[in-house]
Amino acid sequence: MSIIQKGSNSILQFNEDITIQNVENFKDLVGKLIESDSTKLILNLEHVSYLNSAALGVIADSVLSARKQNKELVLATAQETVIEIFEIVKFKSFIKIFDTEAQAMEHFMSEQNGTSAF
Amino acid sequence: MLSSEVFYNEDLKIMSIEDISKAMEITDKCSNLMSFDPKEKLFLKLATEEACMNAYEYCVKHGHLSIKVCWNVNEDGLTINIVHKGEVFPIERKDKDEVNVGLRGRGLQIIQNIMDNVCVNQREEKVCFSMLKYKSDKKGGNGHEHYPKGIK
Repeated sequence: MSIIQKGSNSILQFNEDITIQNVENFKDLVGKLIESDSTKLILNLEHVSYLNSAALGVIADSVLSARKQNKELVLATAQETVIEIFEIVKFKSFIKIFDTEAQAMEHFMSEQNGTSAF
Repeated sequence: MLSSEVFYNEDLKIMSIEDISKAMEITDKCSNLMSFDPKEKLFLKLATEEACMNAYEYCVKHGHLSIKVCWNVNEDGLTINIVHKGEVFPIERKDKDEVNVGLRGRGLQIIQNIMDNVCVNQREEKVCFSMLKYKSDKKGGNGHEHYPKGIK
């Protein structure tokens, strides 16, 4: 798993469920995403169906870190279990979550054109 | 919490992070015995990971690793008890409507949303964190309290 550039977006697609065994790796990779040159950051969790509270902490902290650097980190996932976990911790109140990476990219495109729905 | 006879139980001592993964596997095994659906099974593993991790971090901070996890399966549901040296702690969230934007502090909130019943008890020097998930057709329970097994 690595960070890729698609246009002006930096994207991290994390493809494993996130448990105690790999949450440190997840944290390192998200940290690299935040530090990338782009201001439009997408964390793609479309292939993740399980994430622990430590991963949630990494995500929350990263969203806020990005904002401090005038960057925006958004999430992409439609996995029912992950959405439900996000609802338990009320992530939607401060993090933008899209069903797919394509929708996330569309959001950034719309923002650029001044037509975003958010 | 459960008055029905136990038809399966298992214990595990947690001495390392790897043991927490083993605990999640045991929960998965117990979930299969209960015929929970895939989503419930995933969430039960998550509750197990969160509860064990909380206990582990507490024990490491206090300089001892004396955690025992006990699973009890019966016709009503699955009870998971995590016992270790320590003191009871509050499980009622004071700021239920506030959104936690920090790095930590979501484990208990997740557990309470997944499990049907969560409680903390103290016996002598040990604290027991107990969580119960009813089988879908047994929601509501029978209201009986029982002191969790595993505390000696």
